[in-house]
This record gives sequence, C-alpha cells and structure tokens, in this order.
Amino acid sequence: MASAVLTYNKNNNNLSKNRIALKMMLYIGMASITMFFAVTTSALLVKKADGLNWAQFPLPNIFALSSLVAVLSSLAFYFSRRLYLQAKFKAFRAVLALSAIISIVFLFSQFMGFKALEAMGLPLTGNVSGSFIYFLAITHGVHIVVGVVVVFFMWWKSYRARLNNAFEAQGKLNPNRVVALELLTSYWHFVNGLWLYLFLFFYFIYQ
Amino acid sequence: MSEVTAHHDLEHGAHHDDHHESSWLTTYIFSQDHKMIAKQFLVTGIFWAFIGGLLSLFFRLQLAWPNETFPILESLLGSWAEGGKLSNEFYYALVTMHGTILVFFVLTAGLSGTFANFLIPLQIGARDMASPLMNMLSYWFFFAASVVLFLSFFIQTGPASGGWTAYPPLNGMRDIAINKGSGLGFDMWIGSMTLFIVGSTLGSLNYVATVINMRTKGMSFTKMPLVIWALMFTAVLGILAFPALLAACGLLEFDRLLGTSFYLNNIVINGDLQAYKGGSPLIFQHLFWFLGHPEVYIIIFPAMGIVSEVLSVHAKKPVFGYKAMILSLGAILVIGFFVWAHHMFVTGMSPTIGKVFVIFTLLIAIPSAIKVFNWITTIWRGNLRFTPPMMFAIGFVSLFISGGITGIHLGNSTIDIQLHDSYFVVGHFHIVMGVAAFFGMWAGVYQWFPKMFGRFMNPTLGYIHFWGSIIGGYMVFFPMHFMAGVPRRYYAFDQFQSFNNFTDVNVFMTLAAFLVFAAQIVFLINFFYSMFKGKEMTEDNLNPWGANTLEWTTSVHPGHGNWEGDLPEVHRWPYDYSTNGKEINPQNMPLGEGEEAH
Ligand code: HEM
Ligand SMILES: [Cu+2]
Repeated sequence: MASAVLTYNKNNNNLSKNRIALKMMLYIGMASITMFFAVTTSALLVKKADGLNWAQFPLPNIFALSSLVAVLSSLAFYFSRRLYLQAKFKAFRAVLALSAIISIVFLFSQFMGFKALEAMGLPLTGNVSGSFIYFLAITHGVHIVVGVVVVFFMWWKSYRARLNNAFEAQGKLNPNRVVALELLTSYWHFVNGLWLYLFLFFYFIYQ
Repeated sequence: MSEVTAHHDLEHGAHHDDHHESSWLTTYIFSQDHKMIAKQFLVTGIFWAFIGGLLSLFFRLQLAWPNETFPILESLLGSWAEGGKLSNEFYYALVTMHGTILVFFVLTAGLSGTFANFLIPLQIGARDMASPLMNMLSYWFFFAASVVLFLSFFIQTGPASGGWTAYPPLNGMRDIAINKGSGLGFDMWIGSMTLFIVGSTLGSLNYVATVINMRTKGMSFTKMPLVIWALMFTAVLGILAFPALLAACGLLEFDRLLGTSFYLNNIVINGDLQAYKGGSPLIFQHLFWFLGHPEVYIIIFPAMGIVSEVLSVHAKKPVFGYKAMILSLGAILVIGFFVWAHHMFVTGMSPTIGKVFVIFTLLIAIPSAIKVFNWITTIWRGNLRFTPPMMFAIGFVSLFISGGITGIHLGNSTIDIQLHDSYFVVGHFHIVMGVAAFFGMWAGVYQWFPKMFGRFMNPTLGYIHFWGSIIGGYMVFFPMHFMAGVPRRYYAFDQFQSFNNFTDVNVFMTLAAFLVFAAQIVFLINFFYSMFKGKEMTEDNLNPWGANTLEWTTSVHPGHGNWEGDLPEVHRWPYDYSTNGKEINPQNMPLGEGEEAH
C-alpha cells in the first residue's frame, strides 16, 4: 500500500483559498461555542420557569466591573493589532501582553464575583439559580484561559522573531502573523462579547 | 513556480519545510493525509462495531434464557457473570455501552469520520482538507475517547450502566451503593464523550470549510455529488447540536463532583434525604435530546448520501430529483432541531407543547418520504447491476421505509404515550437507524474499498454478508413491534407473568442476532483478507464501477495531494449516466458539441 510521491504545482494549493478556509473554521467554531451558551442559558430559563426553588437576587456589582475589564481587554487587543500593522513591533508586543494581563484581571474579578455570591448565601452548591452563574462563568472562563495561552504564545513567538527573523527584524510584516492576529482578534472580541451577553442575561433574568 | 513533493502542510505556510520525511510513523500513524485518516476512522469504527455487537449477544442470551447459565460467560466476563449468569448490574452496563458505542463511536465517528475524510477532498477535487493538522487531531481525540471508554470496562465498579441517554437522577450522583455504574465508570463515560465531542467538532469544522472553500475549478455547489452535500450537512448538524450534549454533561458533572443540584431534587436514598435541592432532571432530557434527535440525522445523513451515489452509479441512471434531494436534506436539517421533545411526551409536558412537537415531527416525514420516492425513481427501469454495494443500498431503502413508518406512529403523542419505552421503540430505531445506517456504511465500504486499498473485496462473501444481514436484521427487530406492551430495559422477563407469551419470540430474536453476527464475521474476514490479498485494481481499469465522480480519476494508490500535476476541472454534474449516448460521462469530461450542462 505504498503511496506514490506526487509532483504538482505548488500554486495549485492555493494558499489564499486555504486562509479563507481557516477563517471560516474559526467562525463556525464560534457558532458552535455560541450554541453552547445559548442552550445553557435556555436551560436556565426553563429551570426558572418551573418556579421550583428559584432564588432571585441582585447581581453582585463586581460582575459589572468584570464587564468593564472585558471591554478594556478588547480595546487593548484592538490597539495591539493596529500597532503591528503599523510595524511598531515593540509597542505591539507590550500592548499584546497588556491585553492578556487585563484578561487575567478579568478572571480574578470573576473569582471575586464568586466570593460575593458566597457572601450573599449563594455558594456553588446553594440555590440552583446561583449555581448556574458559577457554571456559565467557569465554562466561559475556560475560553478566556485558552485565549490568554494563545496570546502569550504569540507574544513569545514575536519576541523571538524580533532579531533573527526575515520579517520583523527588517521592519516588515510577517504575513502569517497578520493572519494569526486577524484570527485571534476575532476570537478575543468574541469571548469578551460573550461575557457581556452573559452579564446582561444575568442582569435582566435575576432582577 | 516551485515544484514541491507530495506532503505540503498547508497550515504552516510559514515554515516552508518542503521536504517532509515520510516515515512509517507519519504515513500510517500520525498521518495528515485525509485518505489515511479515513482508514484510521474506518478500522477504529470496525473494531468498535465488533465490540458493540458482541456485547449485544451477551445481553440477548440473558433476554432469551433468563434462567439458564452459560459457563462460557463466566470464563469471558469473570465476576460479572458469576456461575455463568449475567449479573443484573452488568446487564445494564452492557446495554448502556452497546448504545453508546454504536451510536457515537461506530455510526458517528466510524461513518462520517470515514467517508467525510475519504470522499470530500477526492470528490470535490482538493489536495486535502483545509487543515490537515486539525483533521489528524480530530482522529486522535476520537482515539483518546475510545481509550477512555475501553478502559472503563476494566475498573472495579465497571462501566457506565445508566443507559446510553445517561439520564439523571440515576447518573446524577456518584453513589455506587445505588448503581455501581454511576461511579467512576460514568465519570469515564463523561470524559470519553467530552473528548469525542471535541474531536467530532474539529472534524466537522474542517469538513464544512473544505467543502465551501476548496472545490476545484468548475465544481459549483450544484455539480457536487449528493454524498458531499450529505456529509456537509452532517457536519453542520454536529457543530450546532453537540454543544448541547457538552452542556448537559458539564452540568451533570457539576452535580456529581461538586455537589450542585441542577438535575436533582429531594433525593431519598435508603431513607436518608440527600442535600440536593431544587433541580430538575427534565433539563437534562431537554439538553440531551436537543442533541439526541439531530444525532440520529448525523447518523443517517452520510448513509443517505452514500446510497444516493451508489444507486445512481449501479443503475446507470441520473439521480431523480437532484435538487429535491438537497432541499429535503436541508429541510430535515432545520426541522430536526425542533422535534426533540417527541422523546419526552410522557414527561408531563403540556398538551399544547406536545402538539407543536407532534406537528414538527410529522412534518419531517415529508422530506424523508421525498428522499425515498427519489431513490426508488432513480433505480426505476434502470440498468441495475446487483453488485454488493448496490445490494446494500437497496437494502437501506427497504429498511428506511420500514423503520420510518413506525416513526410516524411514535410521532403522534397519543399513540406514543402507549408505546414509549417499549420494545416498539427499540424496533423502530434499530431498523431505521441501527441497521439502515450500517447498510449505508457497508454500501460505502464495498463501493470505495478499491479506491481505499487498491484491491477488491470478494463479491461472493459480500452477498453472504448482505443476505445474512438483511434477513437476520429483520428477524431480530421486526418481531419487536409486536412487543409494544413490553417495556424495554428489563433484565429478566420470566419475573413477569404477563410477558410469558413472548418467551419464544425472545429466543427467536436471539438466534437471529447470532445469525447477523455470523454474517459480520464473514464481512470481517472479507475486509481484512481483501485488504492484503484481494483482487488487485489495475491502472487500465481505474473506474471499476463506471462512476462519474472525480475520485476515480486518481491513480490506483494516489499519494498525498491526490492528483499528479493539475487538479481535474469539472464540466458537468455527477449524474450524467446513460445520457449523451454514453453510459458514463465523467465530471471532468468537457461538454460535447451542442450539449447543455445539466
Ligand atoms: C419519519 C420520521 C421519524 C419519526 C416521525 C420518528 C419519531 C420518533 C419518536 C416519536 C420517537 C420517540 C419514541 C419514544 O421514546 O416513545 C423516536 C425514537 C427514536 N428514533 Fe425515530 N422517528 C423518525 C425517524 C427516525 C430516524 C430517521 C432515526 C435515525 C436515523 C430515528 C431514530 C430514533 C431513535 C434512536 C429513537 C429512540 C432513542 C431512545 O429512546 O433510545 N428515528 N422516533
Ligand atoms: Cu427523535
């Protein structure tokens, strides 16, 4: 079953086709993630509607702060990409790292939100209405963690490329980094936006 | 213009490592060639089908002869069958694992994993998937899921045993005093499902992006083979539906490991009230069936696509109603998301809501019937060649009709309230999904085996396999419709006098199950023997079935990249059979003078 070694024109691979495909994969993946939160928040609504043992409570303020932090993180990412496209690589790296750090602050603020819920008598294992917040915030947080890891990876790669790379070291943009940044930007805004959705959802459902 | 050799990882355009050393490891194990990944899915699927089928024989023995002992069971299963009799706990583990394995590992991963990987690039004229790396990861996630589930057979408390639908509260607590299978075995089930969902999603993203973006010149959407449409829709279903199962499992593990009460309320165990309060097990059912119903289409779509292809090729007739076939797949895809509660008619839902779900459920019978009509009209007065793939494709149509009709009974809530959780349901879904999807898969295996391995399977053994499967399959599942008053998931029917008149039927079905299994052994022998020793395909007969699609324009053993030189260009739809004065008109053949594209 040895397979033949083929020769073919490399241009036939059509790398630009491929790049569009990658972007599409990311968008479809985001649709899948959206379904996860859509069905889970629907489940919450169904549970709430059965009226059995459902606590209503004001959402701890710290979650509003989380939302602000999420917006800041997105803003930082937006600027870091712009800096890269302007070939200001050093500033790009600094702001890129900043956006990841802001997202770590975001995770911390979520944790503080859990503490606040606990102080209100709503620990994780307490009333189901509270448990849903933990569940949604934690599963959302996992997506943030993934994003942060990828951002640090990108930071590391562009840091290493600052001297011994054909592109950045000569003040030129690396086309692969441009694509990667474009993809990552979409993801980053998407997961931060996802929190805003969850926040508004909680805000209106729990009042 | 630089010429490169074979393996060019499109994902890492940056690296420009033009010389991938292809070692044994990268060719057969960590391959990124879609054709090898397809074979990996197929062989893994066949492995699981064997295990899953074997488990069913064990519990069929128990159903037929609840009083007898079978010493061989003790030697095979040890303490699970002490004295040669299945323990009740292991009986439930067997049915649970049988369902899980066949639904997810065989008929989802084994079926669409194999054929989406194999056929999409070859039939749309692409070098490979959009992301070969993610494609490889998709298989390895599935493999990891397989390992976890397999290992769960060997832990002390045994594998999950609370049903393939994993309902709480039974599965909502790690209390092994209630049910051994709710312990570690079930956590492994969840872990395995999670890995499975990740792998399946990675695969599906790739399939959709590849079909949309990587088609060769001339391959417009309306020139695409129906099986490609079916596989793409399958992927869309998976992308949108599997998150619901992930959410269901996530909430379940929170209940189990962290003590939340999403699904649990006022549980009393041995007189002790547990701390859980305020949850609702119905939420699990909603989430589960929001996946569960689309899942049955994830299983049947690839089979439908394969059958459309095979019928047309071996009848040498254009597919009847090509666009209607695509539209009905699309309609099933959409409506399929609005019928899930037909699995929950007896949960005390309001009759109004029940009615809505009845209407949507019955609505879905329309596109299903359109497809059946079109298959029959496709082969009507065709020049039929009863090759093994054709036999299985025709068998599929028969089974899909038989099982679809009982679906319409079940879709009426008034009737379903009587039939729910009875053997009637087991009969329905095994015929329409279980056996039918297997027939689609076999049709595909016999059809594309020469393209996969460069050799033919033995047709005589193929016919034995076919007749054993269709006769045996009907013999196992048709009688179940007469057991509409007998509940499913009972361990020992001799405990209930009212079911005594089904004793002989149960024996009959068990014997038939052995017949079906024997036919599968024939298939296994044929498959593995032919892989190495079958009749070889030769370069002067590259298109043995006389098909129009592009995969048959490659060489006997196409390398990574599929086509030497330029990609083929497409000029016509795939179903120009017996038109134009010729039996076949391959898609890459330019239109004749005065000839109009379909
Ligand atoms: C004409 C279309 C169909 C209709 C109206 C229909 C209707 C139903 C209904 C109402 C049930 C619930 C029965 C109960 O539990 O009381 C059911 C069960 C089931 N159906 Fe169908 N069905 C149809 C086609 C299919 C197809 C095409 C498949 C798979 C390929 C399928 C697979 C299943 C499965 C797996 C179950 C049972 C799951 C379980 O409880 O373990 N059905 N069907
Ligand atoms: Cu259903």
